[in-house]
Amino acid sequence: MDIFKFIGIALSGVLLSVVLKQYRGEYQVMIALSCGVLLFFLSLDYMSDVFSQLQSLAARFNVNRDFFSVMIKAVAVACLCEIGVNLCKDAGESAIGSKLEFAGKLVILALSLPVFLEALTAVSSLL
Amino acid sequence: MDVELIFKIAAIGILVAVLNQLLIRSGREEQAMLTTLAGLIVVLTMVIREISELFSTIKSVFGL
Repeated sequence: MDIFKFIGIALSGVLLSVVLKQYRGEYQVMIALSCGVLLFFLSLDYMSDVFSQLQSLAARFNVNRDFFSVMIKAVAVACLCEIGVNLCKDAGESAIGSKLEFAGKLVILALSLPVFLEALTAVSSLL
Repeated sequence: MDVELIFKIAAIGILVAVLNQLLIRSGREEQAMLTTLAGLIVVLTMVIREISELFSTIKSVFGL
């Protein structure tokens, strides 16, 4: 199963970053970043076939096409933001992390606003 | 591209740490700082190449 590979990567990354922490602190951030990028990269193919199945499901129930793409974009923004925010917090810069989190929320809000407006008009037409 | 990226970064980190101590003990603080900087730049380029590869994959997977 792939999960063992992921756990192995994460554990080796943690061990190496702890070793390097007392000698060279900046390499801890580098190892954390490369581990995060690697694990996210490896789990992307799971995500892509999940999305293809969801897409075929949405096509069968004729859900509107752009609702689904907005959802996918929001998931992508959330995942990337989460990598950056946790990395900033690990490195001790929680202020920068919270600013990044705030920016991510705004991007997702901007993405989902048209869908929300469309839903509102649909509901108001029902009333 | 797999796990050896992490081990490469760790190896460079340990090497730079050892070199740094070596140079400091032998009285060459400037070279020590320069080797630390060089090691950091090498690791940074490797990580940035990985990040750009990740972003291009995300663009293709999520269709952004």
